[in-house]
Formats: sequence, C-alpha cells, structure tokens
Amino acid sequence: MQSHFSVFRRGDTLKEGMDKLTALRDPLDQVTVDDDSLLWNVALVSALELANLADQAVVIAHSAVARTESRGAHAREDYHKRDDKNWLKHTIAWKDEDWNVSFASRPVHLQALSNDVQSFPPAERTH
Amino acid sequence: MSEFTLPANSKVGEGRHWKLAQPAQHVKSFRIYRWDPKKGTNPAMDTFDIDRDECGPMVLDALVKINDQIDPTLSYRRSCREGVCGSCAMNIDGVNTLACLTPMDSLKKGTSRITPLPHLEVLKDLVADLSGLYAQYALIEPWIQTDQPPPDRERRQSPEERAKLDGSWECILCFCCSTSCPSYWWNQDRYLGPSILLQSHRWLVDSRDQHTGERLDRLEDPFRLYRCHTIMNCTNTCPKGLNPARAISDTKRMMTERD
Repeated sequence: MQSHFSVFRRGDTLKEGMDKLTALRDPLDQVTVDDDSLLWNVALVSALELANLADQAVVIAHSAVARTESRGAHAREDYHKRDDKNWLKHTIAWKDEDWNVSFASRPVHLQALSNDVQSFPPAERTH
Repeated sequence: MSEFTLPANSKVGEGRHWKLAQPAQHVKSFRIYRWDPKKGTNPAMDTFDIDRDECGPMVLDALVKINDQIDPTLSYRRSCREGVCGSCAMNIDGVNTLACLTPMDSLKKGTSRITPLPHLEVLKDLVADLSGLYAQYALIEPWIQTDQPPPDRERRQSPEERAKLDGSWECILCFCCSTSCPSYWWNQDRYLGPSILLQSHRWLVDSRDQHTGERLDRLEDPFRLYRCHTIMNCTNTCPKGLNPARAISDTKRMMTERD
C-alpha cells in the first residue's frame, strides 16, 4: 500500500499495485490461528487486524483507481487538476466476498450547519 | 507466622527451550515468564533463541517474532511499537521498561530475562492486571474542574503557566514507575503510587483548574500520598525520562503550604 497507493499516484503504478494486492486474495483465505486460547490471544487479534487491513486496502485501491482527478492527499500524476464537475462527491464503496468493489456516491455538504459563518463555494487551491 | 517462601502453586519452574532450527551467527536468548490460568500448572520460564539477523532491533521485535514464528500462544500487550502508547511495559533484565524502546544491543550478553510488571496479578504470560491502577487513576478525577460555566473561547495560559505542565503531560501511563516502587508493592491497595501522583500533580499545577483544594483534600490521608519515601525507583525506571518523585515532593510542599 505504501509503495503503490500513497499520496502521489499514477495509473500504471496503481494497476501494478492492484495486481499485487489481488494476488493476496487466495493466500489470505488460508490464514489460520494456531492459538485457541480465549485469554489474551495475540495471534487471533493479529489475524482479525489483518482481515480488516485487507478490506480497507482493497476499497482504498479501487477508489484510487476510479477517481480520475487530484484532490488533497490523492494526487494523480496523470490527472493533475481537481475536477469539481465530475468528482465533487464522496465515494461510497462496497466490497464483496470475491473482492469485487462497486461504487456509489454521496454529495458533499457545502452548507455550514449554523449561521455563524457564510458558506462559500469551493475554489481552486492556489497556494 | 511469616511465610518466607512462595506458595507451592506460585513456584516458577523451568519451561521449554525453543531452539533454533538452523544454526545462526548472532543468537540472542530470552527466558520469558509463561503462565496460563487455564492450564492449572505452575508458572515456568521458557527459553527462546532468536536469530538476530532475521529480527528487528528492539526487544518488542523479538516478542513479535516469537509470537509470529515460534510460539503463537505467547501473550503480551503491544500497540504503537514506538513508545507513545505504553502497552508493552514489562520487566526486562530486572528493569521495568518498554519493550519497544529497548534495543537488544543494550541488553547484557547471554540470556535476558523477561517477566511481567512486578507485584501485579498476572492475567497470562506477560500481561499483568492493571485494573487497580486504572481505578486509582479514576479516583484523582483527571479532568479540568471549574465552578464557572465553560467560556466562549479557549481558556488561555501564559507560557510560564503552560511550562508547569511539562514533565507531566508526557506520561503515557505505562506504570513502569508504580510497579518498581517498593512502597507501592507493599501498599498498592491504599497508596496511589508514583504514576497516579504524577498525574494528580499535573492537575494540581494546571492554572485553568479551580479545584486544587478538593484535589489536595483527596490526598490528605496517611497512605494515598505520604507512603512515598523518596526511594526514587520511579524516576530511575521511567522510560520517558520523567520525574514522578519530584512531582510527589512538590505535592507534599503544596500540602504543607496550605496548612
């Protein structure tokens, strides 16, 4: 994840990383826990953490490939500009058993929840 | 009548020796305390041989390697692996410290001994029961207390007022100090111990807190504060380089000055 899905991303290295990540699907199915204790079972905790990391990694990877723009900590070298027309939205992702990921989106709240400050439209970052 | 030996079911025996499968050039051995309440057997010291060339530099790396590759039933606490969470506090070669901040190079040659934090009940292997310490932490009410309603903005402090908190806020509650204190070993049901008294002092000197009097009242007791006999083990052992003993003596000073 650190070498292929860090802040600076590019289509071809994302693809490379995706292949490496997808290759882990079957090995991860074979994970076993060799400690059957119900007390402070460090091996079980590590296995649960690993399963969660895998879920997060797959969703992050697919979302990074899908978002063809640069925004904040997602800096695509092949899509330098922020694209508010198509991508001013949150990605919602679902991952199934076979690691297929499907997407939907949710609008971004652009109105403040109180009247203390004025809302202002998103603008390009120029600093 | 006094009893000068351990009860029969507490005697620590010799456990298993997990030897390396292949000979290695740089070998480090650890004797590690093992006890599983479910087994109904006495505690034992297992010996694990580690190939240093196939392991990270810290003692915690060795524990991770043992759990991962040698014996997955070894239990220990760990989280951040960089000395900010305080989970991996244990006794390494007779000194309470954090396994993640202890390089194997700093240990004596030969076999090193790892046991749980001393004088606490052991839950399993290197995991000690910290619930007494957490209850004592709750007792000092470690949050800001004032009589006015909260202000509209931050409560401001001068740099000097803020500086009084240095040496206290860095504490990560690993409890190396409390469990190295002979006075705490003896009276841990009534004496608060260095770690909790350091935190108590942090709130006593906070310029924003207005309940200093109540906080001192809570410590006005023959045991809670005054069982500190300036043994200084706490300051010696603190893996973050803090000085709980000074905080305790300053608390005693505040106590006498208000009388």
